[in-house]
Amino acid sequence: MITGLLDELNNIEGVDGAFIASNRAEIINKVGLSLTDDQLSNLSLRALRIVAAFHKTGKKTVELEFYWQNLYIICKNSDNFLLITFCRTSSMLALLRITINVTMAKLSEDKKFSKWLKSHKADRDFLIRKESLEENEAKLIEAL
Amino acid sequence: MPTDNQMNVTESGIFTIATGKSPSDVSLRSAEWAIITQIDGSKTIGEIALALAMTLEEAIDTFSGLVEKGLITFISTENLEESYLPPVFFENLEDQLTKIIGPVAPFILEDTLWSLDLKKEKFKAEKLAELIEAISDEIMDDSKKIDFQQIMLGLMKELNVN
Amino acid sequence: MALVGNLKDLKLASLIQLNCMEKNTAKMTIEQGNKFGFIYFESGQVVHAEFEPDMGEEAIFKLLTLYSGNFKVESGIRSPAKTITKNWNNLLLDAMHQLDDQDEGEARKFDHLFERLFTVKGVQEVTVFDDEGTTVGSSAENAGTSNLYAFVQLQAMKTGAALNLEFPEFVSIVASGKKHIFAKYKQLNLEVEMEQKTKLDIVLPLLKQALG
Repeated sequence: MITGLLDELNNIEGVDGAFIASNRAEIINKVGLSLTDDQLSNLSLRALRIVAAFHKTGKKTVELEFYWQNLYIICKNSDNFLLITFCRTSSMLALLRITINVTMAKLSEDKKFSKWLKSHKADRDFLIRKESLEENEAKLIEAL
Repeated sequence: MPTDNQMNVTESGIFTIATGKSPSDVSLRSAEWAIITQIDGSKTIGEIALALAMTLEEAIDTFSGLVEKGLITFISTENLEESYLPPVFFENLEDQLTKIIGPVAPFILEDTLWSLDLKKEKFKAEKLAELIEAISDEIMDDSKKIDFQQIMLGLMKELNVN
Repeated sequence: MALVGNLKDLKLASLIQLNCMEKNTAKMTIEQGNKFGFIYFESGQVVHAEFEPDMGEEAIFKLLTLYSGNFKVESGIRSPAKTITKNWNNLLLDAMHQLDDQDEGEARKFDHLFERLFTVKGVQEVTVFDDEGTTVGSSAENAGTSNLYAFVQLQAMKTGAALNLEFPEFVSIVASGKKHIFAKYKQLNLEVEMEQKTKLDIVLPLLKQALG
């Protein structure tokens, strides 16, 4: 079912793949992407660290978007996972965001998926503990 | 008898800068100058009006002035009819929205159309996702927002808006 | 016949750009209060400018600080002198950057940047910060440090690196009802706080224009 939901996203014109990452930046499922799992995991880690940093200041992050000239990466945040979608054109972003919202809701309702997430629960704050950060990153987090 | 250029000063008209005369040869108002900078041989009068936050009437008036001054010439008319959504679609949208948020639905729909400078009567299918997203932003309840978006995705698929 | 107007309706930078792109030879007169400024174009290049007591590039720079004033562009009038040799594109860019860097006191350093950004609908606050999280300019009166923002930019840089891409042009984060947009700004970083429902793909061209 999860692959089906990701396929729906990937079938939108201009979308170049989508994946789901856990709170440990592990890749749970992916479709249509040419990047390696390491790259996707690294991307997830960066997004999760931003979410954790905002959380440390009392702010709840709903979504993150990274924009380049011809690439848009949309990360939608839920408590226990991230849904990340790659899009090459800006003209479909409105439709993509609507579809992402609906996909997030369906993922949250999926019992099997929810069960799996519960058994792989992880605290995101773990990702911004001093030992896992570089010196300049740790300095900034410590000052929050 | 109006010329071809003058007859095509309508919302869907597409113009280009005329050869043989330069805008700096004549005295232009800033609105005329602003329109000159937008003319690229592909944007319609309607699109330029939107980009410059002009009413369609004002834009048509200004374009007519530029035609009379010989600064712009007509290229073509965009065929808009085929890509407009049928009026019944908005009746359906309003019905669905009313079921979700109640009797304020028509007002939310009209307000959102107005804020996006869009009209039900001449609504291009490619603008639909933008409209749905904007209406969704007005729905405070998250689960109702998702319900609305889910229904609209279904309607968009039926219309093949993708 | 001349093109006439006021700088309130059409910015001087746009006027210069238009005359250059049209490859005009013309004289532009700008009246501001009791002072007159002149800009001369020759075949689409800016060749001379006067705005007492300045001439050349300095006059262009001073004229670009004006936000109002009547202007008149007269076609075909040749310049009495050649005090500017820079290509018009570079001339405008350098002048705009010089405006941004102008030291009118630390508090006003980013006034022009903030002014341009606040013309974009939905912008509520703007912060300029360095990579260490120090706030160097803010539209807010009591702005604190920008450690969180600097952390975001650091993660953005690493995101680009992970995907073999450059630094993202923009990063957008929606958190607790606000949208925060991040971008590099010269050697510094910029954070623009906006209404949550602002659509990034719609405001981005405007932000890009404002950032020059």
